[in-house]
Amino acid sequence: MKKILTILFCLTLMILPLGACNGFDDYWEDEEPIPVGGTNLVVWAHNPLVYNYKTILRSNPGDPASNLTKKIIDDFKEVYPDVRVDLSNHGWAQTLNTNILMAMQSTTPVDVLYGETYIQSNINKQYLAELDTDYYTQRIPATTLSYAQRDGKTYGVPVITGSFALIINKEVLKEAGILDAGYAPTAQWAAKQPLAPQYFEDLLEICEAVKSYYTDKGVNDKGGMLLTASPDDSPWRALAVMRAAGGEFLNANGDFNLASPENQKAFAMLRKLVKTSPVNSIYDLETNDQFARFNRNEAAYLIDGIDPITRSVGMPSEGKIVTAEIPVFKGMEKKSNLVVGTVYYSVAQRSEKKDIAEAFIKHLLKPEYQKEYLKTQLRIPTVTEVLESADITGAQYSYPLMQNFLKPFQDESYDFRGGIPSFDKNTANIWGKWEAFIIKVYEDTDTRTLGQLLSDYSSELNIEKDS
Amino acid sequence: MNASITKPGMYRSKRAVREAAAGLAVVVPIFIYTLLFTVAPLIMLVRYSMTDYGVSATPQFTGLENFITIFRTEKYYSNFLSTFVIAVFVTGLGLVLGFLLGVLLNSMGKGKGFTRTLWYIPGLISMAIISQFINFMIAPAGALNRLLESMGSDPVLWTRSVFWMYFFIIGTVVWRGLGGTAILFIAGLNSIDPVIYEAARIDGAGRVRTLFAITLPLIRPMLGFILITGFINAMGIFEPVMLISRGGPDSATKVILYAIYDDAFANSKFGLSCALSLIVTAVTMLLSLVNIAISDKSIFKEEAAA
Repeated sequence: MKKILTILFCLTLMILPLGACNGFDDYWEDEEPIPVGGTNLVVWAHNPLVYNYKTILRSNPGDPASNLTKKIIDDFKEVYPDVRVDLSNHGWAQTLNTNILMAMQSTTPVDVLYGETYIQSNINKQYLAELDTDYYTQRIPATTLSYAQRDGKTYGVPVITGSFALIINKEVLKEAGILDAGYAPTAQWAAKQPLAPQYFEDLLEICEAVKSYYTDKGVNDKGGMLLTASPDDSPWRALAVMRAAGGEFLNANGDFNLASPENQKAFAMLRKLVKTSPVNSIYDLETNDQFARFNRNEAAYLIDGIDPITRSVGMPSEGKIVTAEIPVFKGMEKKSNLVVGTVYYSVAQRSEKKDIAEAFIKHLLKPEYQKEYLKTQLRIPTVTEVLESADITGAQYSYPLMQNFLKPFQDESYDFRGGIPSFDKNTANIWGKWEAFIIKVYEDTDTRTLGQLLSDYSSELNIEKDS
Repeated sequence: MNASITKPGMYRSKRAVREAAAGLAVVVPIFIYTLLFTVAPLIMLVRYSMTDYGVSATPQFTGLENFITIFRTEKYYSNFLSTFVIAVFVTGLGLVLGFLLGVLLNSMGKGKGFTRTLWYIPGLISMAIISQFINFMIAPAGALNRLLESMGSDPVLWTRSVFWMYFFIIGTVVWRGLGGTAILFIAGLNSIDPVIYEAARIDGAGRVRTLFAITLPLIRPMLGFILITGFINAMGIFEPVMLISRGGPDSATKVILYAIYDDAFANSKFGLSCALSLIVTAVTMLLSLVNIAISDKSIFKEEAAA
């Protein structure tokens, strides 16, 4: 008996860690049978779909995103009653890329899959089927759609998207004396517009003032701008500043050109901004570590997408956080932005149910769902009709914090392009070198001039890209 | 009479058939399993290691090009060195600390079973969970730095220090495996006849003398086993590197398995990754053979002396 109990105890200990590795959600999902004579549509699901919506609804019947997924699936089954939609999640960023590679090299059934930045690489690898280009070009703005197109053909459909904005922590600005007790700019700082700085030069001055305030008090873990060297986040934040300066990762020939005058201007600004960061914050490896710092009132500014807000304060509300458009550089009045966090849905090239799979993707673009993506998950819709709809700017969807994320999609004065580039091979080497490079930019201890550093790294990255 | 002659023969023949059948029933599944999950993948590995298999879904035969690339690329040597350093420290520390723990646990009176179980528990916890815990401790604004700050010290950039990254990787692996190693040593220690210790005590041998003259020589087979299996396992370290250091800082802790993973799934170079896997397999086999040869020699010497 004692032995049996010991074995059971050990088994329990072994199972618990497995449970922590999120295997249980799938285990407890209701196993819905495939209709007689019907088919199973394997859908890799990410936002706006909630892959484990049944489990979530069991414990939280009011969860808006899960209810929306349920409605989307139920509506689809009304049109295709002989299809079972089998949802599963396969991570994001590098994890997703690895899972796609593994699935495509195996015989794992996949009909619909999602993708992000690396969709171009997956087109090159012939993993994705060609879709109905005419249908999507009539409905989706070229900026977001073009990222999933090649030679005029469409291989992925952006279902939700996002952009970057300047996220501002009012509490920090108030504590540093930039804002008064009523969160209005003090007379000294009013001209710099700390709640919506127009120029990076002004933003830098405010950040330096915040940093000085804390340094004088002997506090070194608080500061102005929050930046990171993490390869997951730093290229995006750097790109936002590079675009504002008129720069870009790759030149017209598709080569790295970090030493262009525009990029040099951007990296010089980043180097100055990082000096206002909380000490050691550039070494945060996890995005959540940075968001936690921001939420702990350790920095005044952050350039990012909607995630820091949703993860820190949930749904936007009038609180300590406000947003503003990304500033421009003095003398360069053109506003710029980048498409970020777009979820593209594609049909796998080896799917045997391509028609049903594409019908499912088209189903996700229905305007009624698109509006709900914004309302329930703060995800920006991709359908032009919805983006231009009065509902989006009207009272019903008027989240003050969201307007600056939506503006680039609605305001034609924006120079609005895709996200960071993707590569067919040596991805790990390229972003590994990028991390080493951006640390050198931020640490400012390298003996080379910034221009030389940028030039040297461009060469190194080009070798990786082409080898 | 005839029947009495033939019956045992028939019996033996039937028994031989039954035994052969039983033997086959045991061997065939293992044979099929090995064929499917060891031999076949190894053949595939050899095949793909000679191809350019990456961006294109169809592998192109390239002969020995992948191997030449690996031998000409400096970073792979550094990856092997990182692996070797970690393996040596993990095996060495695991062996010494495991032995000391084994001796300690074996000499305990009350609560022996409970303490052994307690030490064994880390081995049951997933490395992913342990690594997440370590990450929580060593983040720039993590628990360790908060503790240092509360004591008036400056925070340490653990993740930017080569020494500390090696320390946490090696420390984590050693700590997790310590209970298991100790239990193996306890089994070895318990196999020594107490009469030998009694004789040594009568002869006036002290504790240190007993340890080096009796205990260690008599558990040498167990030492050999732990050394071999420990080193082979340590050569295959991957999870803590991926989850704690991510090969950093600046690829200083990038072990060879992490390089294989990167080349296959991030760099989209499956062919190169297969070639690297084949080299690692060969190196591990070679090291194992050396280890076995050394320990066999010592064991045989020991047996001959006995």
